[in-house]
Amino acid sequence: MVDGLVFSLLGSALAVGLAGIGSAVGVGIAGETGAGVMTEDPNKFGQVILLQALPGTQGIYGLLAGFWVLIKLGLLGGTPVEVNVAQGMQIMVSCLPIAIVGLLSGIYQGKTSAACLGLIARRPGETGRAIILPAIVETYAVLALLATILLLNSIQV
Amino acid sequence: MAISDMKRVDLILHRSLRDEAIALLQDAEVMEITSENQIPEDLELKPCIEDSVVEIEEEINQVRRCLEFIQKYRQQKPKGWFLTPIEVSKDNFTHPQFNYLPIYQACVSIENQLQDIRNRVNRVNSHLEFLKRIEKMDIPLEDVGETRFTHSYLLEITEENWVLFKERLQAIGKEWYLNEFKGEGRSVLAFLVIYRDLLNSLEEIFADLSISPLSLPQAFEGTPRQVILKLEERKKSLAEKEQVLITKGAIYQKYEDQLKILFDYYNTLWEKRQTEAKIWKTDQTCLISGWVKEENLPDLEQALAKEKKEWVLYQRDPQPGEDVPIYLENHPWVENFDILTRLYGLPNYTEVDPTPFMAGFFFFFFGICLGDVIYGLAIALLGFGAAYFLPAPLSTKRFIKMLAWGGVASLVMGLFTGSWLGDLFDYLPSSLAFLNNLRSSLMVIDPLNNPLPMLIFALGIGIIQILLGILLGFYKEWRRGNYGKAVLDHLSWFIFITTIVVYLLSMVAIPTIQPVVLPILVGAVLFLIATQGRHQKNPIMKVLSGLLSLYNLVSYLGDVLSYSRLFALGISTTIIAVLARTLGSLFGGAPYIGWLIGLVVALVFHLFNLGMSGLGAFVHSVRLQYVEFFTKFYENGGHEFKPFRYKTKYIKLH
Repeated sequence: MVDGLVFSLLGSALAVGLAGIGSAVGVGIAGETGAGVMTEDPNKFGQVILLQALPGTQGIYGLLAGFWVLIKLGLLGGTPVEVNVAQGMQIMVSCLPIAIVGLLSGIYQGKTSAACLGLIARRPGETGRAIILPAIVETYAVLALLATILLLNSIQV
Repeated sequence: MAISDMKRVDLILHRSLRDEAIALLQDAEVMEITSENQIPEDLELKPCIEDSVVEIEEEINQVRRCLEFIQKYRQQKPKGWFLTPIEVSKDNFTHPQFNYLPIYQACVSIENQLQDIRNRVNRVNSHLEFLKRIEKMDIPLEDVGETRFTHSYLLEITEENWVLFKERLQAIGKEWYLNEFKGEGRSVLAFLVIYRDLLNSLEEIFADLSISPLSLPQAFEGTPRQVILKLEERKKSLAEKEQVLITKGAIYQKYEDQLKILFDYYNTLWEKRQTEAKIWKTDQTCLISGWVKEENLPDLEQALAKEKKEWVLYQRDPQPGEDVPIYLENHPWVENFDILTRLYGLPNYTEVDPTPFMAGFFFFFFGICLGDVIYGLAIALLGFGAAYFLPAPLSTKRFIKMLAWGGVASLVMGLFTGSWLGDLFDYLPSSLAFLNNLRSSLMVIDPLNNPLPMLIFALGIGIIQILLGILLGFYKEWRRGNYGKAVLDHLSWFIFITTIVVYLLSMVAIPTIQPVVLPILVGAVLFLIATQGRHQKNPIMKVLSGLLSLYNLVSYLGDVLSYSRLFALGISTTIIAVLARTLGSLFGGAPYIGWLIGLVVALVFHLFNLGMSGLGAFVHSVRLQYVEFFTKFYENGGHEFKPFRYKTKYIKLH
């Protein structure tokens, strides 16, 4: 059924796309601050790259969810499964948690990372703690990913 | 005891023994010296500052400058990531013979000369920039200026203004001479010689057309082209001079070790002076106060007794409210996880060291989050190898070992969930099928096809850790003698949550015990309602806030659900590994070198996964300790025990 497939692919694309945008914006925000920190002290590259990478996980979660849909549909080197409209919409809706939460939490995690970069610029000894604060934001992306995986898993195709 | 027992020590000795005692304490490295602040006023004690630290600071700065100089101009790069400490005997260290001043002066002089050369090069460069603009003017530059009757100018005028300028010039008279050259872009260069009586009119033209004559940055001789050649020549000779100086500077690298030893020596001396400021004295005696680990006290007394007899040592237990320094002492395996406690903040003296409880959980959580046999194996091998072979400082080694142990846990969890580079082993050639058989025989839970058991497993661990947290809170308060608080705020909740869990279990598994559990549960609820409002005065408010306290259950529920991340991160590692395999095999299907591209794609994906999932596993495992576990019982706020010692950065005493 072509119709169901379209919805499924839309879900997959939303998960990859929106969560990817979230991470891109987040990593961008953190990177701008990181460059500022490095003009003061280029030796902080290691810490800066670590904090800049933290908001990058949402994009990976989105990609993961998106590919999980493709694997479920047998579109990646398997036999394609037939999906009806109802199943297709179910799959699409299952992708929404990580798509929406990934988009927003990526941006906010980026802001937190940027603030923490400011922290390590002044107090280089606090890197360990500075990594934890953005991770608290990421919690919700992890939970959304969890929801998406459980939802996808409950759909029978 | 994970937090070492400390004793407050007051050492009173004859003033003549002061220096010996300080040297002895610095040698022993067992006592943190603090200033005694409860001194009766009639004792007439004064702080014992005799030498100024300003000179030492000056010396430290000078040696540091030498080291920075060497660092900047060294020609052989140091090998390895970590500095190997220089071994020095104690005698050589405490009585340095090395005079750094000639080196310092030489370094400063070379620095100054280099700075001078750089300034000159900058000046030459800016002149060159100007001259290149007017390079095409074939005029001896010494002609620019004024004579008795004429003025001469260098002009750069846009092509649009050029015609206008010439017209205006012709209008004011004939006593001038104009030589035109092609300038850069759309501009014209000109050399203008003009009779001085026309100067006023010329100024007007300049103002109207907003032309400003070019002024030479300094007097030059010859045409611009000749001057440029001359300056290029000078630049070259300056660069040669600079190179000679840099080579000369590199010679001082041979003193690096001696300077480093000296640097540590002066720092140790500085530390000593700072410590001396915390010592009180009267006419005849000194008072050295501080903290010593209980186990080190006999050794210290013995060491003192060996020297002289004119001293008395008082010791006592810490009093409540005193800021006792913290020294963590744990099992060698647990010590690898110390760093996590330190990151959060050391415990205060009256509570429990969370490290031994947290270490096992962190180890386990990291394993669940990464959860792959091959990834775990890679991290464990790399980590233990690095910890064994790299000459890293102890704290770095412990951190690496902690990650390596996380790798071991991940290996075990990978066996448990059957993740060996994701599902790669399903696609092994039939000759290697035994490996896949091994995999399936060891697999207990298959989260990819049936995620629920793994999720319940993660939440179950969460419940266990939270209950342990509450129990530790109970233990902490009980030990402090706050029995009421311990029972009412901690034990009651522990029993309440445990009964809820048992009740839920009994609903699904063993319905027969349900009648036993239910009364306990009701009893626990009533107990909480009765006791949690005890701080309120109004009896109605007592009941109401007792009821309201049951709402805390929601926050415990939230904490437990937070552990679902363990499952989510674990399965995401596996899924990305599956993706790596899928993409690899997609590319691998291409003809000719397809297999190679597929292999590279899969490998890059796996490495990326290892990095990101490893980071996630670390960060989220730490977070669960800090936010969900520590909040149940941990107060922190202690400061690290820093015994008075040789303050060394580069050397190792032997």
